[in-house]
Formats: sequence, structure tokens, C-alpha cells
Amino acid sequence: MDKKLQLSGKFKTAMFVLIAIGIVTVVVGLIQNPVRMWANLLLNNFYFFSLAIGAAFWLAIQAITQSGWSAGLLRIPQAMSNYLIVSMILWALMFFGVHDLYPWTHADAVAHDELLQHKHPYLNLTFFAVRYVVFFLLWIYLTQRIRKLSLEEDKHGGLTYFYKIEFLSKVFIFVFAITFSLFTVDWLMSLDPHWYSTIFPMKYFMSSFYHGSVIITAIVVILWKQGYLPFVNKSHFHDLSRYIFALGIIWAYLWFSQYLLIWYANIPEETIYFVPRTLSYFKFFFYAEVVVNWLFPFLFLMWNRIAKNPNALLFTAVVLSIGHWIELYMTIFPDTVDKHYIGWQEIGTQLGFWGLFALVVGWSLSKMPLIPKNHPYINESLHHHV
Amino acid sequence: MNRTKILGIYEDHEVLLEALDKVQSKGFKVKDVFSPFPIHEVWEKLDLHTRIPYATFIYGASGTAMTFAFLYWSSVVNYPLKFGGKPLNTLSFVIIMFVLTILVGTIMTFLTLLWRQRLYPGRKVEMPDPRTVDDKFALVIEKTDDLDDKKMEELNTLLKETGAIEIKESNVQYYEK
Amino acid sequence: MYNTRVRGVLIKGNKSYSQVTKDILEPLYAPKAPTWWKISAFVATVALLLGAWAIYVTISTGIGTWGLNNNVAWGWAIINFVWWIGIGHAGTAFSIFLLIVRQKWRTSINRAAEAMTIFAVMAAGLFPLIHMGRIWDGFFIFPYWNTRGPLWDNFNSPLFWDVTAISTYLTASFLFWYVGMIPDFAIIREQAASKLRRKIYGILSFGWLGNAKGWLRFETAALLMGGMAAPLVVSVHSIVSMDFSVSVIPGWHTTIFPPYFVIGAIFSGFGMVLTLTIIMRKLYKFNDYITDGHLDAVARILTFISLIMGTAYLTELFMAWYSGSEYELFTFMKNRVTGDYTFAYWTMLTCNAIIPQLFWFKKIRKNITAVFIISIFINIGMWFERYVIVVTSLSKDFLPSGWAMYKPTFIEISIYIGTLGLFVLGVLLFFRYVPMIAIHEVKHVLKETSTDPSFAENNSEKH
Repeated sequence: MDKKLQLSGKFKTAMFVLIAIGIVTVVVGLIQNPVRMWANLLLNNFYFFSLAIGAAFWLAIQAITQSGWSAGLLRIPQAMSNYLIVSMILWALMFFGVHDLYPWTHADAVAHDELLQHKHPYLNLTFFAVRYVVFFLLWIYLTQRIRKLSLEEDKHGGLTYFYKIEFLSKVFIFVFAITFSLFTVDWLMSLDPHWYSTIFPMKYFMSSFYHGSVIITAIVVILWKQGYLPFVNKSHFHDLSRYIFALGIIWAYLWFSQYLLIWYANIPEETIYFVPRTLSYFKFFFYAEVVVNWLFPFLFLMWNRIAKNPNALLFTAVVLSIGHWIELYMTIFPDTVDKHYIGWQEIGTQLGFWGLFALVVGWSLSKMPLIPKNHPYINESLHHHV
Repeated sequence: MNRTKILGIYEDHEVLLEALDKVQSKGFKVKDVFSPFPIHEVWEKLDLHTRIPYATFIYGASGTAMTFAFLYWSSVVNYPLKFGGKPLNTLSFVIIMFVLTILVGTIMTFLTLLWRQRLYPGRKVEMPDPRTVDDKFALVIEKTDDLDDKKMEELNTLLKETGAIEIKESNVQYYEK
Repeated sequence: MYNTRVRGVLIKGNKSYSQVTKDILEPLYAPKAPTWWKISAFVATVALLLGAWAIYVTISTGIGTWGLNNNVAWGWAIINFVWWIGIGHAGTAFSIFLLIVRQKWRTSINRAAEAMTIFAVMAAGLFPLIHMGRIWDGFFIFPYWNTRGPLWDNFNSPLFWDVTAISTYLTASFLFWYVGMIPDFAIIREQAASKLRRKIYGILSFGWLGNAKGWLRFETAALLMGGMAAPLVVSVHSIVSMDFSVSVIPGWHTTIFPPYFVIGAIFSGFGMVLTLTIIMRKLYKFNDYITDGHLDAVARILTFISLIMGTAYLTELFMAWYSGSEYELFTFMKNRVTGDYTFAYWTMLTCNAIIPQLFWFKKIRKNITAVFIISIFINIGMWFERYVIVVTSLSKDFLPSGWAMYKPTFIEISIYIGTLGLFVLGVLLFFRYVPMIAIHEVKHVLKETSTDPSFAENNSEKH
């Protein structure tokens, strides 16, 4: 039970190579085409940030629903939420690129635009930065506190930690709901400061929960294959894939709600958002976003046998991590670079971030006992059977 | 062919599961299990499967296709009329298709359950042991020709040993498939 | 491996299987209905008759008997329709969503919640029918081969989606409910003392046997039907929300409406479930089945949903400001937060987002009277939410000269009271003639979740 994860030298080297690729790409990219590279950095920053925060949300959901089956897997989302600290630092770099991405940061643009003036009390750089700092500190504080309590629980046992975690999870969900909404408005929606949609934050919130669960599943499968989580059986896989399946449907639902309502009402201020996305080079990805993120897992995981198969789950995770990328690509690129690019910049940056993320998560996992031993429901998880 | 059945009555589902294992490992073929609630392990041990999920998938898929065919035919082919500046072959179809897929799927799944299990209103049945709807669990073993007296005795003691509170024979016929 | 020490015991009293059957079927076998039952049935029938009279007046005279005007063309009827549909979401939400997140405590409540769904949806379906005015032309809503062209329905209309969704929802939830009851009817068929009962429930039980293959098919089919009902439940209220949100009216046209309505529906549904189960448990002394732990769990969920509701209200306000659209700003700031409809808006906000926050305190969750009162507040708050949405946006729109206030007439109120009567009567009949708790599901979780002394010891040793 006290077995810890051993990171092999090979793994570390590989990840450092990926990071090096990423750094080189970013530097070269910033010299060649800064707007495109900043868009890429925003994409990847958001990509991995939402994995980390989605994992934290997953953790909180397990705590408030008092789920027993997942008790043995809690270390994985805990490790993933550690990435938030790294994410905060990387995100600070984004402030050098705001002028390339956000039209409302240009004083002259604001001066000639009544709407931007109206929004100025909210959309101004100072307040923008303050929100970034406050939100990240809140998230980091809460996730770290939950993680520490869980580690304490391992040492001392008893129910106090369990109840404290449950309480903190509630607080986290509350804080998260509001801060994450504003955060997506800040960093994604305000790329086009004239456009607004009330479902927008919710869609990205669901996306982070969805793709966070996908990566949790992937890590569980990988660790299980390495023999680290011997208790994991078909029932666990089935539950994990049920999460992916259900969240995929919810994600599609939110996507469709937004598109249908804007399409139906046909107000120019709103439809403008979909014009570059459906009528230009982005068209292919517009459909790909839905097919990859919803149709594929829906038709694939519908079958019981596939849903319980770890290899199939790993495959789903790979496909869906591409889907997540496409989703953010479709959010950020049409508003910023307004030309369809997929080249070495995109791939290189993504690889670099993957290396970093994997390293952070792996390192965090190796620093704590992999299976929480004093969680009150640990037995339910170790002998989980549907 | 319908044969007499031997019923071992148990009082607890865990006891029953152990008994099931033992009876099977001694080479007796357990025909069926009656219980007041579903027991998943029984299905695994008796190697039972159902194809209802595949049927549901087909119902759903055909529900989608039929709905789309109707909507397309009625609003594009039969009487093309523009509503609210929307195209004839419109996105709104998705919503109706979605809902009707579920309608067709649900009704047909329900009917399939009734058909496969031969359930219908007013069907008269006699149960091998009526107590199994309430709090008893019955292990059913068919009295085949190769069960001679010696084997019968062995089976009887085996059932007793594994905790059966009662062993009885029953000639009640029911739909077994 | 169910940890009873932390979770609490699901079914109290260390019951045997036959005791469970006996307890749950006792009210059904009772020769006479209790006095409170007769009194409430009488009151409900009177309410139902009042509603029937009001519907008669509406149809024979016309919609002019309602308080509607040129601007506010949707009034109480649509508010009540949405309100009832919302309440009708609890049944499926309980059965399916709680199944997905593996909440075993749902087993004692789901039957009642599903019954509630049926009657609530029936009450809801009544309103659009009456609202048509010419109810005798009601069959126009179905796409049938007609002599008008054939002019088919407008498939782009959210009202048509509504018809499809609600009739599907009623059918699907009824079938799902019924499937779950088949094995329980079989118990009555085999055990009832009276011959008539054996006969009637025998017919209803469809000849259920309870053999292994039967259970396998039963559970597979129930799971599939439930699995399909889960997205259905979400889509139904989304479609209801689209009645509003596909329009271009400020306060109605907002993309968050579909999920916001769904969450609101689940919120009000759970609120009503709480109200109902507290009554049921009190009157039938089902304290062993619907324990304080059950109510606690529902209350916790309500706290959580209430937070989401609060966030949604704030998002709406924030986005109204962020949009910079003067119409949005007017609707939200001048006609909801302040203005003629202030009372409705703040009642909504208080009842839905603030009062349920009291559930954070364990003391209040443990006090059943307080829980009951809060659940009533939620029902009221959700009614006002629909009031705010339907009425405020319509009463003051783009053209100030057309602004008009709306007040319901006695007829509209009577119809509402009538549907309350219908709902209560339906629930009362359910109490009397159907096993109120899913017997086979409770038996399924009975052993692993009840007080098992050896298991409890094993757990406590470790710590």
C-alpha cells in the first residue's frame, strides 16, 4: 500500500526533450510570427490549466457525493491539480502578449469604441491582472489545502480530515464556479470584446471537467499497466468511462445549445462569432470539434465491452486530447490570427507543454503514497464491484 | 422437454451464491435461480447473456433515420415552405430527431422486454415456489435422466450441506428461455 | 464493502427481507384508508372540480377570461406549465443521475419521485392545451396527412418541439416507472389475502417470475430505458427554455437558458421530493426506510444546486452589464432588480439562492421541520423564477407605449389550484394503491447497507 511511484530516468529524459522542443519552438515562433505564437501559448496554457482545474473539480465532486469507488484513485487528480502552481507562473508570461491578442488593451481602440468604454471598468489591464492573481491564489490555496489534508489523513486516520475535505470541496466548487466563469470571460471571450454569450463560461467549465476526467482515466490506465494500481478492475474502468461518456454528452449539449440559439435568433451581433468559424478555412475544424469530442466517444464507449477495456480507454483519451486541442484552437485562433495555421509551431508548443505537464504530474505522484490508505471508503474502492 | 425440477430453497443470497458454486463444481447443472431481487453474480455463474442492448441500438438508430426521413420528406419534398427564414432542411430537425429517437427506443425496448420474457397483462403463471418473490432464494436443478438414485442422494446432501432450508421437487412449468 | 460507519445505515432496524415487504405493503393492504387520506382526497377533489369549472369557463368563453393583454400574452398558464414540468424532472433525475454517481440511498425514494413526475407532467401538459383557446383544434399539433395542402407542422417552432418532448417524456417516464413496479406487483399477486387484489395485481404484474434470465433482461432493459431517459430529461427542459430563448426578447434570448432551466428544474424537483418524502415518511412511519440520512443527502444536493442557481443569477446580471446592450440592461436592472417586479425578483433570489444556504449548517439539516419549511420556500422561489422570466420581459419590451402590467384573474388562479388538486389526488392514489418504495431495489441494498455488527467492528478496529 505504501508503494510510491518511481519515475524512470528514461521518462524524465524524454519529458525534458519535449520541454526543450517546446522552448525552442516558442522562441523561434515569437521571432517569426509573434501573434500566432502568443495564440499558441494561450491555447496551451489554457489547455493544461483546464486539465488541472478539471481534475480538482473531479476531486471535489467525489468528496461531496461521498463516492466510494474512486477513493483509491484520488492521488491522481491531486497530483494533476499541482500543475496549477506551474500554470500560474507560465500564465504570467502571457501578460507580455496581451497586446497581440486582446483588442481592448489598446487605448486608441477603446477611445473610439463606445462598447469598449462601457466595458472598461471590467476590461482594463490592472483589474485583469488583479483577477488573474486572486483567482490563481484561491485555486492553489484550496487545492493544496485539500491535498495536504488528504496526506495528513494518511498519517493519522480518523474522520476529521474526511469531513474537512468535504467542506473544503464545497467551498472550492463555489469559488470555482464564479472565478472560473470570469476567468474564461477574461481570457477567452474577451478575445472578441464585442461578442458575448452567457453559456460560454459553462461550456469551458464542462470542457475542463470532461477533459480532466479523460486525462485522469489515461493516467489510471497507464499506472495500472505499470502495476502500480493492482486493485483497479473492470468496474473502475467502467465507472471512469461512464464519466467520459456522460460528460461528452453534456459537452455536446452545451455546444449545441449555444450554436442553436445563436443560429435561430440570428442577431448580427451574435452570429458574427460563427462567421469566421463556419465560412472560412476553419470550417473543417468546426465540424471536427463536435465529431471528435462528442460523436466519437458517444458511439465508441456506448458498448459495454469497449467501455471496460483499458486499451480502448487509452485510445479514447488520446483522441479526446486532440479534441480538446481542436476546441481551444477553434476558440482562440479565428479571433486572433484569423488565418488557419497548423504547423510546427502548434505541434512543438503542444509537445513542450505535454512534457512539462507529465513531468509535474509524475513528480507530484512520486512524492506521495499512491493509494490513500486511511480514506474511510478505501475498502469500497479496493473491492469495487458493480 | 419439461422435466421435474429440484428446488433448493435458501434464505440468504450470499449463502445461495456459495451453494451455486459448490453444486456447479460437483458437476450438477444448475438450471435457474429464483430470487426476490437481481443478483449479478448469478448471471456470471450461469453464463447468461442478453442481446437487448443491441436491439435498443437498432431501434434508436432506425428511430433517428425514420424521423429524419419523415421530416425531410414532409418539409423539403412534399410541401416546401419557408418558416422564419430558416432553410428547408433545417437544424431544428436535430431536436425532433433526438426526442423521437428516445421515444422509439424506449417504447421498443419496453416491448422487447415483454416479448422476450413472454410478459403481458393478465398472463397467468404458477411459480415453482411463490416465496421466492419475497424472501427466499431457489436453486433450480433439472431432474435429468442421468440423475440416478445415487446422484440424487448426493445432490440432496450437497444442498443440505450448503445451507438449503428445504429441498423440494416441483412440476410447475414456466417459460425458461 | 459499504462503509456504514461513515455513511450511516441506509435501511434501519436490521430488517429481514420479509419484514421489508410487510412494512412497505402494509398501507396497501389496510382495509380502510386513514382519515387524513380521506380528508386530503376530499380537499384535492374539490380543488380539482374548481379547476375543471375554470377550464370550462375558459373554453366556453375564451382566453379573454384571463388577465392576459397584448403585451403579456403568456401569463400564469405558462408559468405554471414550466413550474410543473420542472417539478416533473425530479423522478428521472433521482433514478438516473443518482444511479450514475452511485448513490445507493436513492432506492427508498425513487419510486415516489417517479410517481410525482407522472402527475406533475400531466398537470403541466394541461396548460398549453387550454392556452390554445380552441382546444377542439388541438389535434392540429400533430403532423398528420391533412387537407390543408398538406401543410405540415412548422418543425422550426419550439412549440412543436415542446409537444414532442413532453409527450415523449410522459410516455418514457411512465414506462420506466411501470417496469420498476412489475416485480413488486408480483409480490402482491402471490401474497395478498384478498382474491380481488391477487387478480388485479396479477394482471398488472404481467406474469412476472423472478428467475435469473428474467432479472437479467429486466435490469438490462430498465438500465437502457433509464439511460435514454437521462438525456431526455435534460432535453425536455432545454426545449421548454427554447420556447423563450430562440426569440429576440431581452431577458429571454440568452444562451445559458437551456442548462439554467434544467438545473432550475432539478432544483425545484428535488425541493418537491423533499416536501413529499417528509410528508410520506411522517404519515406512513417510514422512518426506517427514509432515514434522516436520506433527507440529509437531498439537502446537501440542494445546497449545491442552490449555489449553481445563485451563480447563474449573477452570471445573468453580469452578462447583462457586460453585453452593453441597453435593452438587456433595462430588463435586468430596471425591470427586475428594481422596478415594478422587484418583489418577484427578490423573492426568487431569496428563496432559491439564499435560504437554501441554511443547509450548510448540520443543525438545520437535522431538523426535519426546518428542512420541510425550506423545501416549501424552494417550491415558491422556483415559481417566482418562472414568473420573473415570463412576465417581466413581456410586460415592458422595445416600445414603451405598449407597456402593460399583468395581473392574473380568478379563473387563472382556479386552474392553478385545480392542477394542484390533480397532483395531490394523483399522489394520494399512488400512496394507497401502489407500493410506495421500490421493494426489490431496497432488498438489493438491504444487506450490505444495514447494520451488520461484524462489519461495523471490522471497520472500527482499523482506526
